[in-house]
Amino acid sequence: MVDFKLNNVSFAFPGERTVLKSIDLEINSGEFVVLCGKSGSGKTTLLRLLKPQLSPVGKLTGSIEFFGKKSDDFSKIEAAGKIGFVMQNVEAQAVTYKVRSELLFGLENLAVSRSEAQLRVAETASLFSLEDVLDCRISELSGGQKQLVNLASVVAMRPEVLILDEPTAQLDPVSARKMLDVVQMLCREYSMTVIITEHRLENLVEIADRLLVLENGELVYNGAPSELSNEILQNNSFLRASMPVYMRIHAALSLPGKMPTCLSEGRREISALLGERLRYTQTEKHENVRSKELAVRVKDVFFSYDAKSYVLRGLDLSVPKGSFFAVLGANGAGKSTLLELLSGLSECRMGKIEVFSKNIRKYAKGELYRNNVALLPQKCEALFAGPTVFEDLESVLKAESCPKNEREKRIRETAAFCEIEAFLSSHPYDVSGGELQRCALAAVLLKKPRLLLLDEPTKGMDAEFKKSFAEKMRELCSRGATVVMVSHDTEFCAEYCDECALIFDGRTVLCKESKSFFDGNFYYTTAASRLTRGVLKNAVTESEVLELCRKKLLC
Amino acid sequence: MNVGMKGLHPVSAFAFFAVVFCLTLFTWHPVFTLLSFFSAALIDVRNRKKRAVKTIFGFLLPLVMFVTVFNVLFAHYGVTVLFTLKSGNNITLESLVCGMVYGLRTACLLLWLFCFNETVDEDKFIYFFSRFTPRLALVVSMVLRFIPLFSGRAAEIEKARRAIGVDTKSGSLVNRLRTAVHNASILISWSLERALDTANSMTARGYGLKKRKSCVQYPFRTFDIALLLLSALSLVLTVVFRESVYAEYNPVIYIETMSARSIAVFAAFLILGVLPLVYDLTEEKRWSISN
Repeated sequence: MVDFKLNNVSFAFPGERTVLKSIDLEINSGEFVVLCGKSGSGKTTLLRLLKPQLSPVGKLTGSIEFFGKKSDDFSKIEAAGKIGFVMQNVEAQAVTYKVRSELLFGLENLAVSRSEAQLRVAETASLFSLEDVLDCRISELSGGQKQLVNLASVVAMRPEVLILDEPTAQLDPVSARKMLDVVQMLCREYSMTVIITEHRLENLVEIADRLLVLENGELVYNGAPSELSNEILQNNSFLRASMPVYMRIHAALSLPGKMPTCLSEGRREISALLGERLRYTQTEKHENVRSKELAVRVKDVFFSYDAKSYVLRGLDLSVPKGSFFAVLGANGAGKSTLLELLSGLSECRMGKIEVFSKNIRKYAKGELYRNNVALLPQKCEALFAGPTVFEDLESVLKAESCPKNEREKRIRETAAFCEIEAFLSSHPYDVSGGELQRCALAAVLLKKPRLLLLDEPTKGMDAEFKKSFAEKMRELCSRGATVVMVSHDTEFCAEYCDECALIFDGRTVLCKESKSFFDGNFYYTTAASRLTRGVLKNAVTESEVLELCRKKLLC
Repeated sequence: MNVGMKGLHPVSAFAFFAVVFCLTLFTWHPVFTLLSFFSAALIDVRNRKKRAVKTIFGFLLPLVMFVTVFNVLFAHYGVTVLFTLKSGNNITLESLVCGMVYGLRTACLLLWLFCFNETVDEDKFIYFFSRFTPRLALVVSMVLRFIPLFSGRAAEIEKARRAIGVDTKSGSLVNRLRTAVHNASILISWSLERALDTANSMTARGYGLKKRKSCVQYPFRTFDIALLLLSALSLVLTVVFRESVYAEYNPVIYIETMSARSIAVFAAFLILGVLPLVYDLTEEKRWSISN
């Protein structure tokens, strides 16, 4: 049975260029469809066209059939009940204040009978294991739980199709995994059609029945992930960057046969290819001499929010000057708390924190943030009010009483570095997420910090933005600044950071140069490392794996 | 949350508190006020234990004394003069007694409010109003959702701005004011943008397509019926026999003498006030026995 049929659909927003061009697409019942494409390629527009209530306003040519009916014949009530839509923003989707009433929201809208509604809440809560939190306030839940509640409130309406627009972009890896497992279960065991978009496809290529690739509004690929040819990946840099490492390696080495869709398949391929163990010898070991001078020294720090349980219990850390330092660890391990302490937002109960060899408490109020420390927040909207980006940047300088003539000069300099000159006169909410982050970076760099703190900067970022972000950070380090980043993104840290520290249970468990950090770990490591464990030694990033493989193939 | 007093159906809970509140408010008889205080105190102590005792002795009784003293000092009506102040104003027995009754009544009302707060939670409150205006229920629920959301965002904004040196606590007054206003502006912009997502989320789930029907269910038990009947009874008795519980303090203290009727009124009120507590205790006993 065909759920959606798009016939030569083109769409343009009023007064703008065409966003979708001649899309011909059929989505069958029960399929797990993954949609990918660059930001701005029309993914969200396509998804919204499939959900009548959220259809964007504009010029639509061609026709869309919903469950075999033309869009005029498809009633709104059917559309609301049969097609569920989950968005990216975790906080904004919940309407009521308790989990139970949120689950009931959709059912109340459809005027379902009371007994039926109670039954559905019971069903859905059991399915999502939400029984314990059913009477909790939504504000008390974690991010992952909130997104699950959002999904549950949609699923309680018993939809036949689930459309998810980057549902895990704002979640940490563990919650993201859980969310995707639930979605997969809904598809496989309850025959729900799933259409999902994501930036990181590691977890999805294995379970996807079909992959749709949008580029500039055109559908350039429509088929199973395993049917992807090496040529497509080699030619399309965005697609290549979104695919998991084993697919990239398969394409880069032009290996024959079908594309591997899970890590173990990729591993078998590489083992078969290489045969014997090979030790990776770093030819040009960028033996980054650990600078003796420390930018940050954390000694035996204890911290708790309420007097009951300690989040940090005797944490020690030292960050050398000029390094790109990553702090890794699970949720609740104390990473964000550490960042709060380093940025001067909180004070530790016991222990000492020294920034540039001076106790952080001894810094005067304004002194700490002028040419010393600055924090790039996780949610960049927290720094922007509008009406233009320029004015928000100006407010940062006004607060430090910078004279008017100097302000514009400094802003333009920083804007040039962050590549946001084009957005200076735009409203902050008119630019995309990645661009807003660059604007936030500009706001932070206006304080000329020697120590830049980053709070999970790569969340929800696509591969291209990550690369340019990393380049900017390396540029800052080469100019003498120290960058300390809190992250979940092991791939990013392995590729770009100098040193990594692992925080667990309020203490530093491991602190090493990044390559040996990941090489020494078994579970907390990069996909490339897991791919080649036992076959290659010391290969932590994709480029290292490729280098070694090519060496082997040549000789 | 389903046993005893907290398991009351919203309608019976509201009826009980409304009756008790009105009767306390509109009667002047000191015995009535004392009975009211007594039952409210018992229920509150049952609910909040130590904190209730603290409130009663630390706040309410001093309040009673304060009101009494205030009334004595500033109201000079009455015929029984105890003594005369230098300024020529009289301190009368009438104003003393009246003050005590006023004070006790105020304390009573506050105590009933505490009991109401503990017994009727937000969900029941919303449910009660949703019977009359379903949309109001959704609005109240949304307000309860958005208050912690907005205050959380405001805190995030304040932290993010502070960490780049834009502070509301340091610098010149002009700068601090400017920062505070700008932070508020950020909160508004951010929340308005996200509100679009919330609106989309509501439309996507079919809001506005049909008349909304509340799907929340509360069990209506025997105790609810008993409480409703007793509330009605007490109200009716007090209204019908209001002359038998009449009291006034100006110009002379006149308290109606006890009669069969006034005893009936007081008894009904006492039983009404104490019934939820008795029910609660018996429920607890039943659970502890079965365990």
